Amino acid sequence: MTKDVISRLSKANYSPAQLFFGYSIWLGLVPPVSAFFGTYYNGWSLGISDPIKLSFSQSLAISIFYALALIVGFLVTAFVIKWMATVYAPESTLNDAFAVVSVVGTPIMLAGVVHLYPSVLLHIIVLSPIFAWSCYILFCALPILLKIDNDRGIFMGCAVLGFLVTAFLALLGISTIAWVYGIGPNLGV
Amino acid sequence: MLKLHKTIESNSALLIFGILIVTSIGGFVQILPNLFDQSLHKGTENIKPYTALELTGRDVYIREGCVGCHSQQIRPLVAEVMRYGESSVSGEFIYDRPFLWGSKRTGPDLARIGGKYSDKWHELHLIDPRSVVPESIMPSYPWLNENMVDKSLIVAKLNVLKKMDHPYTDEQIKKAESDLTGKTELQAMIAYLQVLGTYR
Amino acid sequence: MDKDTYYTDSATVFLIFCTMIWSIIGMFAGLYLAAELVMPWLNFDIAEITFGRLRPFHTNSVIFGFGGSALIATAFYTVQRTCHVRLFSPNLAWLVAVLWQVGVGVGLVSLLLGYTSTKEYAEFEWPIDILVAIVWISFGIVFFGTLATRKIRPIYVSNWFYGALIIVVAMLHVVNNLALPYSWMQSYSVYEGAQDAIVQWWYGHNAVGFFLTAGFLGMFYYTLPKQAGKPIWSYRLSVVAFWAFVYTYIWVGPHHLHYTSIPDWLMTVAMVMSLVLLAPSWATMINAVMTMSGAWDKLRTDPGMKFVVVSMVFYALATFEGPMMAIKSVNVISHFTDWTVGHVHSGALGWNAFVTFGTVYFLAPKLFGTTQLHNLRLVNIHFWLALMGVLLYIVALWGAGISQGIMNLSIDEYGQLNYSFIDIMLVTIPYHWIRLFGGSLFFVGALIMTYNLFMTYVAGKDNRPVLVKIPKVNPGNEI
Repeated sequence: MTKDVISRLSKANYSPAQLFFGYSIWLGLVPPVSAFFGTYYNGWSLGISDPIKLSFSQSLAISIFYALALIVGFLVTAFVIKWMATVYAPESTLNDAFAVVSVVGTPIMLAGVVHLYPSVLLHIIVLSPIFAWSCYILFCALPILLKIDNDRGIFMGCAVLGFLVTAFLALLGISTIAWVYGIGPNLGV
Repeated sequence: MLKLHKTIESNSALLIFGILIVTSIGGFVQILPNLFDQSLHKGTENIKPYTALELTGRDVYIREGCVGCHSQQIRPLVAEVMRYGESSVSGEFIYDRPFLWGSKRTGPDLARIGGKYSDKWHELHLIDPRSVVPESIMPSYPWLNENMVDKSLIVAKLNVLKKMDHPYTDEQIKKAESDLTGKTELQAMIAYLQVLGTYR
Repeated sequence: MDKDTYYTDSATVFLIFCTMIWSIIGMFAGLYLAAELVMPWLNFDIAEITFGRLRPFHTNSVIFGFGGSALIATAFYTVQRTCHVRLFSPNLAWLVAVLWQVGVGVGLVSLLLGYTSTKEYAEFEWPIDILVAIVWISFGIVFFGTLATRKIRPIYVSNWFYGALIIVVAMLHVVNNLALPYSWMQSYSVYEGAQDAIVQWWYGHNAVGFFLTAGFLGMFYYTLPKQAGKPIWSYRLSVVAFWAFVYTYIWVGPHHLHYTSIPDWLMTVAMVMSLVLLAPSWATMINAVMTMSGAWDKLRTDPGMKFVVVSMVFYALATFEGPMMAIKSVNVISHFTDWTVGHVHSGALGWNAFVTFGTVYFLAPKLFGTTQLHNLRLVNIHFWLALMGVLLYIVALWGAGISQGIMNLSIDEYGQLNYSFIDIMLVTIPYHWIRLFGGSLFFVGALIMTYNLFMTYVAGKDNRPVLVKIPKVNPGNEI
């Protein structure tokens, strides 16, 4: 089923701008908007104490940064895929790269609604299978959208996966440094 | 550059030698200066070597692998000092062979556990941790209460440490065995825990 | 028949089975430990299997039992093929293979009995240290003896890494384990306190660096070009990366001691060098990726290749994560938490175990006298189990580690601690369950692999002994 949908998208031939402004950006708004309502109305928590509610301006600032980060992340990933394609799929276009990111990101962005409820555990339980599904979609979508054979798809899938996990880790590292320097949770360092 | 490498990789002796030189540099720079850095080897004002009983307790602590879950090192961070007490300094550890700083806190840090709880609390806690802390995931150590300490090694231990400049007097070494008479491993362990971090 | 015209692989076959047996023993111990963390009653009040004694058993059995056997096995195999000569003294090679198992086995039992020096990854007490050192030096004699008698002039890149492994681990082992014995099985370290910590982490990190990275890179540099059927992409890059790697790695140990009672300059140097280390690590990764690209079709014919491809992903991840966690501001959060444990496992499971599995799947049919593995479907199942297992494992421990790190330091607006230690511990429990589940998947994968290899071995029984003739050296490359 997943493969059919991807094939149809592959034939539809949208331009990067059409895809980005017509589809991806709206979907990408789900997590930041949920995060805004979540932190403002329900607060956030590490799972043990009462949730800490943030003020309107704090919530708004966090959500805007979040949205910007997602947009940047989307574009960077698309361009990285385009760059990797010079080795793995020389025939493909930027258009295809945009399509890959949109397709792979769809379940994750939709799952962003969990931000409404402040529980780290809930996030892990909901997001783990979603990420696994996105992984599967990545390996399905690459050969179809970039028009390469399955073996190359697996190689490229590993490369993209490696990039995504490393990028995630880098974000984690940057956030940690930000926390330690006093942005975000109040730490006694 | 590559030409030089062609020579190195055509000669196994050169390769071995090259690896040895290149890898020694870091070790020399990091380890040698510290052997002579007096500030690392100078004790704090009140520091005393462990007594026979405390040392025996420390060896039980080592034997049971407590260091796998409990660190003994308080970092100079506001929250950490609040949680565990004054931050650790190198002078507190000059009689620690081996060091027991640990690398993982599955349980809390113990660097300043000494004096925080009563001997009775430690006794109950070591025999059955869940009797005093219901959520605890620490294993129970009932055998510590049943085993008497091994007295036969204490003189050898103290003599070895004395050779490495731990200031034990001959008198201390002479009465070490009698100090341990009738003590259980649990009592030795508690004696060790109660002295931890009190020498700052 | 002139024996000298054939390679000798019997010790390698023996070691491959030891590798699999240790992987089962070591990973089961790890699984049991993970279970003890969520179900403390599993300690059963039996001293030998309490968490504190079982943990060093787990680390030593996977590093030295599993990793060590795999490294010695592949070193014996690779050094012959790349030098075009039979092993120097096959008898000594067999002795090394057997005594290594004896040393590690006796050491592990002694750990359960409570004889430990507590220095991480160097827990074995002095008599076993001496035995291990003798075996290791004998390994060096076999390896360098083979290099010295080689028929081909250039020494292949794999052998630089194996050489660095042997030399540096010997140096680390001897210096770190110096101790004065007070009984036949116990001793006190000759270093005290802070000095002991510095020496231990100089050892501890480089045991990881040279045992689990340099050694396995040696394995990898042989397997990958063989599997891809073409030479390393850039020779120049591998030269530069090798020397940068061995020079830099040795400096980074004190990043395990950030903010502790050691001199500040040590931490700063270690942090800077850790960041520098990213360059040679990723250079190696890029070299590997470029070597693989183009060998697409090999994925269909070689069941082990997927493992090697994925091992590169985790190599890249772990060598990025390491330097990142060596930054002091990140380390403030990550130190003493499960994040460190997760990082070690993304390296040990994702990189070391995957590249070992890939290599063993690649070598086994050749060594056992069959043309193909017993069951290719099982290899596929193993692959997905292992991949899902390691991903769940590291993601769970990222969650656990970050929670622990923040909660440990979190204070409220009045400057009071937000969470008690018990709070921190309770939050971790769900993550530990996920980790236990991920670990089980990985363990089941290893069981499947062992079964598959055993059946392959049985299938090849009529074709053994497998005799591989030593090929002629290309003109111009003779020594």
